[in-house]
Amino acid sequence: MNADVIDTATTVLRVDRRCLDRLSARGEISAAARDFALELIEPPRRWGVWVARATTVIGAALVLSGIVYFFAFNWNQIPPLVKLGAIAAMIAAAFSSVAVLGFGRLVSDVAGSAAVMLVGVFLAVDGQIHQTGADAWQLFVGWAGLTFAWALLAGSAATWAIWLTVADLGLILWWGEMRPRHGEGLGLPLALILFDGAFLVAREALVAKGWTWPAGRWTRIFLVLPILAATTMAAFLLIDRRRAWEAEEWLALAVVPTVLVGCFAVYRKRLPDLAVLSATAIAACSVADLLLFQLMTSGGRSGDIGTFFVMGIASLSLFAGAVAWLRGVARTLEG
Amino acid sequence: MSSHPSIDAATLLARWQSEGHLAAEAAPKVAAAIAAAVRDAEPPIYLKILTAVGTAVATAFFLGFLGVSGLISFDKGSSLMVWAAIFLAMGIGLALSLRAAAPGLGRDFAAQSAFVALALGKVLAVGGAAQIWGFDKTGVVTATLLVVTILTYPVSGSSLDRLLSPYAVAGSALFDLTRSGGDLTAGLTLYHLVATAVAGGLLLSHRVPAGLRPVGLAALAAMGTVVCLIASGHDFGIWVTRQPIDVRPIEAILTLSLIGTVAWVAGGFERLARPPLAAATVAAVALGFAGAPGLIFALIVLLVGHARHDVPMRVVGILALPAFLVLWYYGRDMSFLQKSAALVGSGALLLAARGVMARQGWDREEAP
Repeated sequence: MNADVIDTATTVLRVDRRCLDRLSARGEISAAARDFALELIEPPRRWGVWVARATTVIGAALVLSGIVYFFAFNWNQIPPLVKLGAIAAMIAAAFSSVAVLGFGRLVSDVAGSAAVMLVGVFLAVDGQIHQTGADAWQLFVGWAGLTFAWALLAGSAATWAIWLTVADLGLILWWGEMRPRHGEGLGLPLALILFDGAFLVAREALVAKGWTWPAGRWTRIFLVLPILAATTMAAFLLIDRRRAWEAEEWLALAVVPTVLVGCFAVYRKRLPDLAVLSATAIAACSVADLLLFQLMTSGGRSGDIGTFFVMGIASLSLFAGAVAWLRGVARTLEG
Repeated sequence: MSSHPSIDAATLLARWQSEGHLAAEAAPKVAAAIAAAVRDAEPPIYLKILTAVGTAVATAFFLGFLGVSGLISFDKGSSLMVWAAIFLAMGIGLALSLRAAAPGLGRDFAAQSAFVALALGKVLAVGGAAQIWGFDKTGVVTATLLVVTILTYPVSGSSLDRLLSPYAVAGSALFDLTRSGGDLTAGLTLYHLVATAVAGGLLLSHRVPAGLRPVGLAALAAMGTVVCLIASGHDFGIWVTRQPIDVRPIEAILTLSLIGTVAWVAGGFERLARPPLAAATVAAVALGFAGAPGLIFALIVLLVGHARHDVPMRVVGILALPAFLVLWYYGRDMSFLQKSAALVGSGALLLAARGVMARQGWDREEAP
């Protein structure tokens, strides 16, 4: 093999730490060559950047927690106005930090997220002092409503993640307490799919337009996983339905396949993402498994020998098929 | 598609040659070895999770089939053992046949079937041994798991199986230890020491074959299990065995492990004399004196995961850190005011350390 052939064959290959360890364990390269390559892959000074970020985040979290404990200790002695005033001052300090430092920095992200959290603390304390008698969902919905504009302005993925968690909790609590549809359970997963789905679509559209702050891959996973969990739950409820179908069931019948097919299509072709495809495959295989089991045990038949055997083989085939398909997709993407 | 820090092979080969790490005539052989190593790369975590879910579901259905069909009498040990042997033989046979199989659906189906057969065989073997010798007899389950793990480990093609089986052995041994009635402090310390030695030896050395790394991860998980038990309160001994235990030896082992990990990351103990690493060593010792085993363990996992570019390990470390922080502060016998002072003080110390790093230029990729 001459140098040109080596170049052609190896230019497309990426060598990472795991690959270097394998070469070293097999005695293909010397320890010195391995150490040299490791320094090329990850220069030692990059550790300093990583440690600095970690100390900033953990240090700020500890100080904030300490402040919370200080209030807890003195809670009964603090006059109501001071309690609310102190929390409001902390919110103002967090906002001011972002205003002074500017958006898009780690410290600003931490301060922006703290501001969202502190608004919730303020509402909870206010509810406790004035005994408003408000339901839990009102606290979370109010919290999400009051911080929505800030989350829009902050341009921080961490702030959005906190906001969305609060909003999802508000939706879940509201649905649980108000029961806009009577106790059939399909409405909540559908509402969550539509709500979080809207944010997923917005996230992908913004990233496609070149926005950098929502572009972290974790933001996609953070949105996709609850959507798929809600989709699986909706599908399970639909498959197990005993009563006559109403609008809710027909809507679920449209939404569940749309979400699964949509995820497969978008994250296979337009925005290839094997982790999302894998999560979608788990959801789809689980739904298919339950559907098959339900079909085999319908009409009053209980699970017999054949049912369990066929289900075992079917589960093996479904999941093995999904693994083989994902391997094929991975090979195509790498090629 | 690798999201880890990496370098293209052609550039690396050229740099090795220019720096004298690789002779020109050896380059083709190393290039071929790189191509083979890249081809052999472990499947990503999401494929492992997909496989694990499929295996769990299929195993449950097959167990249901065996139960409903009456082929197996679950209260008869010998019957369970015979079926365990059949399934283990099937699993081993399938796993061996995979070595010659071409990639594709057939191979993945066979791999999944092998995983399911091995899982069924292990479950039935444990059930059979417990029926024959009794569930309450110390060591029965552990010994059975150890035997089936030794039998199946060399042929198992699944790194998840290779992780879970040794961890099941370690977990069962820990369970035996807590109900043995002996000196729990000595027993738990020895258990933790062995787990640390195995994890350190298999995860930190680059000379260890990749096939043995899952055992190292299982040992790390065993360390984590001990840490979870002692971090959940110093009265763990009373909770499990009605006798108090002294956790200080384990905390000392963990502290030394953290210092060793920092030295490993830095490239040798002699480098701990450098100012940033000396500061890290002092911080590790301080954490040891603070009695924070969970925090120390989380930092070890985080450091090893970050150094090895192992995303799942890094995620575990990131999640474990706040969890153990909360546990530590929750478990302190202090008033809210004292806790408040400790939290603000430790946070301020970290922020001050951050300031020092910025002042010294340690927080930048380029040297000041």
